[in-house]
Amino acid sequence: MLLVVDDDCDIASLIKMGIENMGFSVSSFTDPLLAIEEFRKKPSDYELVISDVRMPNMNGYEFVKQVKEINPKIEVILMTAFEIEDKEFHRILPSIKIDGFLQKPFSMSKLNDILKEIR
Amino acid sequence: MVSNISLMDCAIQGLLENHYVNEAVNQLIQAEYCSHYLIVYPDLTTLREMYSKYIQKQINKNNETILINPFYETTDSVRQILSKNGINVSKYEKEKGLVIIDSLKEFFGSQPDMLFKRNLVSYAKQTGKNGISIIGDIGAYPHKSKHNDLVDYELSLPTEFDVDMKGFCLYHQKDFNKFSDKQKQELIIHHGKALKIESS
Repeated sequence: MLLVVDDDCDIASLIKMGIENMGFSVSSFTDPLLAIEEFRKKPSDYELVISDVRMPNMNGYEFVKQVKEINPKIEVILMTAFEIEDKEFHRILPSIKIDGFLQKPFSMSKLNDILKEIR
Repeated sequence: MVSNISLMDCAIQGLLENHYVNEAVNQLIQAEYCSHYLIVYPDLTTLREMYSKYIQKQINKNNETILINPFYETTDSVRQILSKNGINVSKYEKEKGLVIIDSLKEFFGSQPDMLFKRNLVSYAKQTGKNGISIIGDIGAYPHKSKHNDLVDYELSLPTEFDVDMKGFCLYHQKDFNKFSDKQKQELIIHHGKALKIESS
């Protein structure tokens, strides 16, 4: 099962639909705090988390940090339409491994390739 | 029994004027140059509706220069939204009647942002504009967990500017919720007006 978080409701829905079409089960959220709550309830049900970076309430780096604290083995992909800010990234995630980066906008086939690569 | 927290919350809510998008846009259009407002918005969809209506009116009809600093969407996304709403983005960008800069670059870039804004006002006046409006999403600060720095920055700005500039500071509701009650009060009171936009 996959967990997708993007504060843009349209994008979260599109990604969920695309991934479901690839045959995976997906839970999608627009609020990272609600996503954390869900993940905390059943961390072993999820194999992969895909998160946006710029989100209100909690940015993607903080979100990933908390997800990894709950389950250090979970695989994580960060997606953003912006450049990754190295300083901020390394400040919050100094030693945490990110399994993939997606530059928005991306095609579903690109996402499919990344999913195949890391799974 | 009413708790202190809810009393404080009520007090803060009472300091914010609630408006739907069209009413809020009218408030912004009527704001005088020198105004410095705080605007709390609920989501990106509502924000897009608000800024596209405001910019369309000010740039096309009220001969104004606009500086917009988005945070939760890209500068290209802003261009697309404005184009869809009948604004000739490339023409206005070319003549510097419309300036779109990412909030992170605006607030954490190499150039002091107020100097840039003052220069933009001078240029706007030289080119016959009435003045400028700045629609700046402060999301860059909470993104970097710099809540205290943002309060210091806001309080360092005047409640009224001394040049032909309207400053509208945009706070996503979820970012605004992260400030302490004391900080929220300080922010609201320091701005000339504080609006909370309701989604339509």
